[in-house]
This record gives sequence, structure tokens and C-alpha cells, in this order.
Amino acid sequence: MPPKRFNLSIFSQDDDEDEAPVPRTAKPKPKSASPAPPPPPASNDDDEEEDDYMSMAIPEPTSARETLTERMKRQQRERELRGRPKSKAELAREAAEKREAALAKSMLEAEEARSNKGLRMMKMMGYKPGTGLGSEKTWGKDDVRLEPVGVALKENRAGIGHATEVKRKLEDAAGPEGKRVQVAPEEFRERVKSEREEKRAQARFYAAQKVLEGLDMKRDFGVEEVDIGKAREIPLSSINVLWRGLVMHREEQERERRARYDMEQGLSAPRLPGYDRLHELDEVDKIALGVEPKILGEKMRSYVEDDAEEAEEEDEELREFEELPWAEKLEMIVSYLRTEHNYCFWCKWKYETAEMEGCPGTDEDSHG
Amino acid sequence: MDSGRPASKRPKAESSIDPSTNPYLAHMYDGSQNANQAGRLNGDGDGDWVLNSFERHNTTAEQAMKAENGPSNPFNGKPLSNQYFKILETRRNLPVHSQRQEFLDMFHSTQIMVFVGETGSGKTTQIPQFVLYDDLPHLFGRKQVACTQPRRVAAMSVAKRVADEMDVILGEEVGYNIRFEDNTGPKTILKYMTDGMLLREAMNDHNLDHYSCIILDEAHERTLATDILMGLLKEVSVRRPDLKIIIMSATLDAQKFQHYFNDAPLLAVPGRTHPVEIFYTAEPERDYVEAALRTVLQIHATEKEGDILLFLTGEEEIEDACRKIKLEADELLRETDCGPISVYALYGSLPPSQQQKIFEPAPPPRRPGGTPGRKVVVSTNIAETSLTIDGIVYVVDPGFSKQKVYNPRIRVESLLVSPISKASAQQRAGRAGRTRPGKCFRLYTEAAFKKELIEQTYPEILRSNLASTVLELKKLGIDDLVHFDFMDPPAPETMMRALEELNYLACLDDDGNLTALGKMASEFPLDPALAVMLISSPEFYCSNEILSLTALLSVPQIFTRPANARKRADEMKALFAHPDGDHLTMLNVYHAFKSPEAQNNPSQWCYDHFLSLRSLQSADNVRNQLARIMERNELELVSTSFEDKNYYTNIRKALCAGFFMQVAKKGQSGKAYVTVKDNQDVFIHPSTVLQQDNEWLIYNEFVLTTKNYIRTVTHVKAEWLLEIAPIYYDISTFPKGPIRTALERTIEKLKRKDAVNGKARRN
Repeated sequence: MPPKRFNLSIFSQDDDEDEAPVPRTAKPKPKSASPAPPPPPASNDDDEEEDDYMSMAIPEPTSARETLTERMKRQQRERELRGRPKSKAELAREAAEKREAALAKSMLEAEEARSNKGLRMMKMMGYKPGTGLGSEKTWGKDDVRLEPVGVALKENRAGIGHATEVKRKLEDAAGPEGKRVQVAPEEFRERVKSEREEKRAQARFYAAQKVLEGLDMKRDFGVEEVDIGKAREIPLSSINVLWRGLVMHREEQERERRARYDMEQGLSAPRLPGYDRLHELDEVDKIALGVEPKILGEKMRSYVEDDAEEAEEEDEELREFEELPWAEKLEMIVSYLRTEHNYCFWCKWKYETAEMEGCPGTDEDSHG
Repeated sequence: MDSGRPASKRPKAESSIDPSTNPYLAHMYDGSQNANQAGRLNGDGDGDWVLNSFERHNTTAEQAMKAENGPSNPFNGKPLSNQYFKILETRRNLPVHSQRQEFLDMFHSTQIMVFVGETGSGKTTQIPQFVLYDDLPHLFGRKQVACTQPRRVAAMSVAKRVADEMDVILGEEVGYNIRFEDNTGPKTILKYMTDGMLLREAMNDHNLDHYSCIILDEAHERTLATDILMGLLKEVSVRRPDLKIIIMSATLDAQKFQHYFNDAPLLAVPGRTHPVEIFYTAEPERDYVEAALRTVLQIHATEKEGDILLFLTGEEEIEDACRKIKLEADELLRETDCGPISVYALYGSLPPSQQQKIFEPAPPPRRPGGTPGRKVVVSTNIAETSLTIDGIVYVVDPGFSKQKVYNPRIRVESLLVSPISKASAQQRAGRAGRTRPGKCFRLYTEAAFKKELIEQTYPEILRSNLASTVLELKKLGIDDLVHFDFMDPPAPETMMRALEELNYLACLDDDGNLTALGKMASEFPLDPALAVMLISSPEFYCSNEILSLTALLSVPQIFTRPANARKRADEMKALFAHPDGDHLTMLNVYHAFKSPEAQNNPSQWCYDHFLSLRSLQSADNVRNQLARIMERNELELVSTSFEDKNYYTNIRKALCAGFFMQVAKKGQSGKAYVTVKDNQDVFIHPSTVLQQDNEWLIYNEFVLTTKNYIRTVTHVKAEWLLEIAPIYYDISTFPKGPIRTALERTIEKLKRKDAVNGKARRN
């Protein structure tokens, strides 16, 4: 008879929503708990440096050698790890790792096998390593058992096929390389620190962009005061890529504002209390209320298309620049300010000469 | 029957027999008329007995039925009772009955046959009787017919049933023989026994000369002993062409048996089954227990009359599920129109009286004409093949069962919740179609059924430590274990580990020959480590205590810990606790149990102290049986005086003599221990009585539950291990590490002590 599917409809309230939580430690963390030093970052970046967006780690620029500070930090972290008593969960995880490793290793290939008396006795009975036991008449050559039956520990009450399903979903979501790595507290701290630095660089970059806009406008277009109206007359492609993004962003905001304004103008029709959520009205009601759905719809579409066109004629140069890390962009804009305008972003001062006498240095640190 | 032959001549199962004293051992039949005449023993000389006119291996179903119709019992000549005829009527309605002639025809034509009949076809009770009427074992050389069962309970209950059917007293013509309990007598012609018992008998009777026919029942279960017996019978069948062999299986995958036994013919009796509709879930389940409960309640609320069978994995899970179903069903009963429900648990460790409850009918409707009630049985895989519950129409199958696993690489043996096989799933579904067309709800998707379930459950031989088996095979005279014709050969490493362990236990010498100790150990129906411990215990002046302990370790858990009284149970256990460990605590329990105070009212005493009366009683029984074997082997029963400060020390040392390969040393941090040689991190099972940390522990089991656990542990000392098992603790075989260092330090200490003592002596 044909198998059928059944649905546990009556008693299932929470079945469709919250899908099963993904097991947190799907994969044991690679090496961080062991006292062995981690491999130098640059040596094998192909395997190790999988882009793990789940952990939000920002890929650090890889330097070929570990610097002194890095080594000190690493050693400090290792000392901390060694000194700390292990938690129950950690011990259990280590035990499980050790168990799995031992289960995966054939005793026949182990170093001790040579002195194993059991194996010696078997050889005396005519056993040849690499073959199975039993009478050759009984088993076909293909299904000889060479390995013991595996030991799989079931840790939850997930049904048959559930683990595969979760794995599949996870891979769908994260791509084939999507792996979860558990993060040690030190790594977490460093990650938070680098995130904070990123944010700071971003803010500085925007500030520098504005400064540069003012200076460039004045020098290239003779505009004293930055004015949106005037800026708009300048074709985007002729604007310095360093601050072109700023203008683009401003334009977008302006467009949005106008669109909102236009829409509100179009909605001057009377509204019934409780019916101010237009999308809930059906066509007939809208006409009855004088909302003119067709016209409104067209208008909306035109704005959408506008945006779409804009997006299509994408500015390759700008995209490349925007993709650079914040710190790098900031550095580029700061040095441009120095060379082109004799302006030090850190002193907040435009010097008269290219020597920029009085400025303590090129980087932020030298400015105290 | 007792025509001048002393009954004591009948060889007992465990005794070794000198063939010359047994007039029957040399007797071989080739089936010729001549031998028939010569071999025919005329019973009491009563020529009127109907069976005397039967021609052996040439009878018909008609003849047998006529004999069965009486009026006197064809096997003992006594008049037949009314109950006999009543049962006879139901027997004639069994599916196998209609194929009796077909069976006999095949039985006559071949030495080995495979018989397939589903549970409930009557094969276990009827086929051996069919054989009796044709093989007439008692008339031809006083042989017996043996029918093996994988489980003790089944052997006992089937023997009882068949004794009733044949209108004889259990233990006379029909008996049973299970480990630690032999209920057979000189008249016995049909013997139900565990497969393990037949294997033990074969150790002393390599050709199984007691038997004219051997029936291996429930062969589909592929227990370790059945697998070994099959390999053995395959060899014996060549040496004994007169021996008839029937392999009985409840599942249709019998081709494997046929192929194994050189294409033996097959007879299949169709079971009385109805179609079963199979349902799968649309999505995999996040929690199979919860899904199972929902499904049961949904069936109760929406499906027509019929009982439900739910398969879960273990005692705790089952009891919990029963409680929840009852609660939810009561709720449903108040809110809706559905009928009353009664829920029963079924698992192996349940007392038989409780197990009987599952056969009670479903409850009646609350009011006349109302919705009929429903019975729900929540069971382990006992209900998969071995037990038939009538009235089951719905089966809920989450797809898991607890299965034994053993891995030689880390020597761990555990019951683990594992996915069942496709064959198992089909078997479970079949349970729904016993009474009328049924439904089976599988709590997994069809894709998962196809992709994730293995075809057949791994036979036990692939999931077991083979130390016992190897010892048995050696005792069976099989020297080439590597090429023994296993139906499913185990992994080479499993064999290697078993041989190695037996060598360390000094049961096998370096060339793989059985030693004197090995021979003696094989006399005991015990694990080799336990047997060796018991045999060496007189040297430690505590064989009485070690005997008790061995018995206690051979029975199910003696401590009970009901979910609603855990704290109280733990307090009671603490009364018996010995600071050096669980083994000694068990011994304290046993001694207390044997005290006059407890024996005054044992069941009340056990109840009060959260102990299992059944386990303790069976430990008592096991102890008596083992004591007899010890006596036969001239092992003395001695004790150290309880006042002696070495009383417990001696027991702990004796433990080391058997379990020196199961030792763990305290690890460097926290609560973890490390097993010696295999180097596994393990934790002490929370059930232990040990309070403080000890450097070295001996453990009874290494199990996996949620973690790596060692269970039943006792504190020992490194110097004992070095002294008692010098080969295993040969320092040069240990890799550098904490264990080697600790052992080296102990050796140094011993040397210093020796030096001081030597000096003292010289002076």
C-alpha cells in the first residue's frame, strides 16, 4: 500500500514556528583549548581562514610574521588557559574528543599492535592483516567486516532524520563552508575591541569627507559654502571619489524626502477613522474613499524604478573605494588632505606651506 | 520408563561425562530399518502404547493426530484430562497446524531445515511437539529434543505452556534449563532452554549426543549464543548425520539462514496478518518522545476503537510517558467525548506480575453505549517480536531502541539509544495487523526511513565483547577461531582484544591454548574476569565474600531508586555505604539481607531499604549454583575473620585479581579519571557511594550515557596491581605519562620498603 504522510495537526501548536535550535557546539573548537601554540596566521590561511560571518570576526590584515606584541598576547592567553580550572562541560568535551579519536583509530595500525599477543595468536591461526574473519565460503568478498560497529552517542531526543535536516538547513543558510566556531573569551574581547576601532574609524572618515568636500568645492568649483543645490549641478563622475559617496548619500536622502512629500500630497483624500492603513483596503474601498489607487500605484512605481535605474548604472570606481576597510579609507583621505590642501586632519588646521611646519606628524598618535 | 536404568545415569547439563559410563554416547543411527529395530527400546514393555507402532521418521500428521486424540497420554500412558482436550482444540486452530503434514514431509527429507512463522503462528509450542511424535526420541536411545530460546523467561513460560498442552508435569517429560536453574528430569524428552545453556552443554558434549533434534527458535534475533550455535551445528551436522536441525525464524529474511546452511529447504507458515497502513511524518521530529505522546493522544481522540502500542527505549522514558499520557488523556476525557484509557508499561526489568497486566482488556465505555475505552501499551522492543498482545490496531514507532554496543578500541560496553533497522521497523508495523487491519505511525519521514535506517539490526556478535565466547569456542574444541564459520564474522580487532584479555587473565597461554585456569573458568557461566576473580579468591582468604559479590554482579541492579523517592532511596543506600567503594557496599547489603532481622520479612525489609527483592533472591540462587561449581572444582570457601583489619583489604585485593584490566587513575584536574592503557577520560557514575577522591579505582563497567562513566567502583592500591598482575602492569609497556610515572613511583617505594625490611631481617 502506498505510504502516506500524516500531520500531527491537533496537538501541534508550536510546530511550524521556532525551528529547532541549532546545536551550539556542532563542531568542537579547533585548537584553542590545547596548550599547543596556534599556527602562525599566515602559514596556512587557505584552510584556517574560512570566512566565518556568524562569529562576526573581521578578517585582520594578515602579516607574514607574528609581531612581538602579538606573541606576548598569545602567550598571555595561553598562560591564562593553562592556569584556569576546566569547567565540567569542558572536561566532558575533552573526554568526548579523546573518545572519538580513539574510536577512529584502528588497533591493528597502532604502534602497540606489533607486541599484541592477541594479534600474534590470530596470526598463528592464519590471520592475515587487512582481511576479515570467518569462512570464505560464507561471506562474499565484498562484505567482509574489517571495522568494529561504530559507537554513536545520542545526546538529545531529536527524531530520525532531524540532525540531517538541521545540518542541511544550516548549510543552506551559511553556504557549504558555514561552520560555527566557539569563541574563547579572549577572542571575544579582541573582537569587540576591533569592532569599536572600526566604528571610530568610520566616524572619522565621515568627518574627513566633509572637510575634504568643503576644501575641494572651494578649490575646484569655487564654491565657498557647501550648498546642496549647487553641488547637484556638478556631475557625480567629476567629483573626487574620496567624497563622492557623501554626495551620493545626500542625494538619496533628498530623493526619499521628496518621494515622501509627493506621496503625502497624493493622499489628501478623506480618511475614515481606523482606516488609515491603506494597504488594508481593497480596491473598491479605496475608490469609494477617493484614494485613487491606480494613480497612487503608478506614482509609487515610478519612484521605485528611479531607484532601480540608479542602482544599475553603478559607479565601479566608487564601489571599489567604498569596499575598502574604514581605516584604510580614512588614511587615504587624510593623506590626500595633507598633500593636496596642506590640511592636517588631526590638527584640524590648513597650513600655508607644503612643509606644514608645526604639525607633529602624519598619524593620529603623534597628535597626542 | 525407568526400566532398570538408574536415573542418576542421565548426564546433567554441567557435569563432564566420561563417555564410557554413558551407554548412549557411542550410539549412532543411520536411519536404516536395522538400526531402527536395534535402537528401539520398548519403554516399560507396554506394547500397547500407540507410539510403539510408529515408524520413526516416517509418520504422518494423521497418525499423530490420532495419537493426540487419546484416550491415554501417548507419552506416559496416563489418562488425559479435560483441560488437555480443551487446549487441543485451540492448538488445532493455530496456523502451523494446517501445515503439519507439509512440515513432516520436509522434516523427513532433510537434515537441516529453516522454518519461518510469525509470532503467534504457534511455532514455538507446536513444532517441537510435531517433532516428538515423529522423532520419538525416548524410544530411540533416550535422546531429547531441544528447543532454544534467547530469553530465560520465554524458555520457562513456553515450557510451562507445552507441559500443559501435553498434559504432563513440568520438569518431567517437558522441562526447561536456563542459567542457574535446571528444571528437567530423567524422563525429559523435550527441553526448552536458553541458547546460552545449549552452548554450555556443547562444551562438554562436543557432538551434542544427548539430542536427536535441535530446534533453534527465534533465530532472527541473532543473539550471540544462537550465532555461535549455528556455526557449531553446521560442523556437528557433518559429524552426526542423524541429528536433525530446525532453524526457526519469525521474519521473512530467511534466505540468509538457508544460504548459510548449504541451501537448506524452507517452510513458511503465513501468519494471520491483516494489512497495515503506514504513515510517515512530513517533517523530521525535534523531540521523538513528545511527538510520540502527541500521536498517541491524537489517535485516541480521532481514530476508531483499537489498542495502541507505542515503542520507546527504556524504563525511565516509558514510565514517564505513561504518566504523561494518563494525565493528558484524563484532560481529554473531561473536555471531549473520547473514551477512557488505560496505560501499561512493558520492559524487561518489570516484575512478571506487572508484565501480565498488559493482557488485560481495554476499559469499558464510561456509560453504556458510550465511546469504548482504549488500552495503550508503552513498550521497549520486547513487544517487537517476542511478545504478542492481542487487540493492538495502532502502532506508534519513533524509530529508536536501546541497543548494546561494544567497541574493542576503548573497551566500552553500553546500552545506547540507536536508530532501529528497516527490518525492525517492518516488524513493529506488523504488530498493528494482528487482530484486524491496522495503522502504523512512523515518527520520521519516508526519506529518512529510506536513507537513515540500516537494512538489518547488527547481530549481537558484532556488538559484544567476545572474551566469553572465545573461551567457550576454545572449550568447544575449536582452535582456528579466525576461520570459524561465523554467519556474520566479527571485526578482527574484537577477536584480537578478546584473545589478549584472556591471555592477560592467564586463561590462554601465549600460543592460544587453553590453560588449566582457562578450563576451570569456562566451567563457570560467567564473564572470564569474574570467573578468574572467583577462582583466585581462596588465595586472598575471602572466597565466601567474592562468591557473594560475583552473584550480586551477575543479577540486575539490587538498588531501586523510584522517581518519587530518590532522596529517601539515597539515604537508605547510605546506610550500607562502605567508604572504599560500591563493591563493598553491595556486599554489606547482601550480608544485611541474610541477617535474621531481614529474613524475618524479606519483602518488607527490601521495600523499606529500597532494594530489589527479586535481584537479591536471584543473587542468592546464583550464589548457590556457583558454590556447587566451586565445590566440583575443589575450590575452598573461606573467609577472613570480620574482626581482622584485613577483612575488606583482602576482598579489594581479590577484586584486582579479576578486574586489573578495568582500572582508572585520577586525572590531573577536576573529577576526571583516566583509564589505564586505553587512556580514556572517564567520570565516576553519580550512583557511587565514594565520597573522597582516590588515586586508583577498579570499575565494573565503562559505560556511555551522557558522558563517559565508570560504574560500580572501588578504591584499590597501585602496589596491589603491580603485585597481582605483573604482566599487565609491566612498566616497560606503558608510554611516558602520568600513569607510568605513578607506577614508577610505586615501584620505587616498594623497593625502598623491601630494602628496609631486608636490612631488618639481616640484622
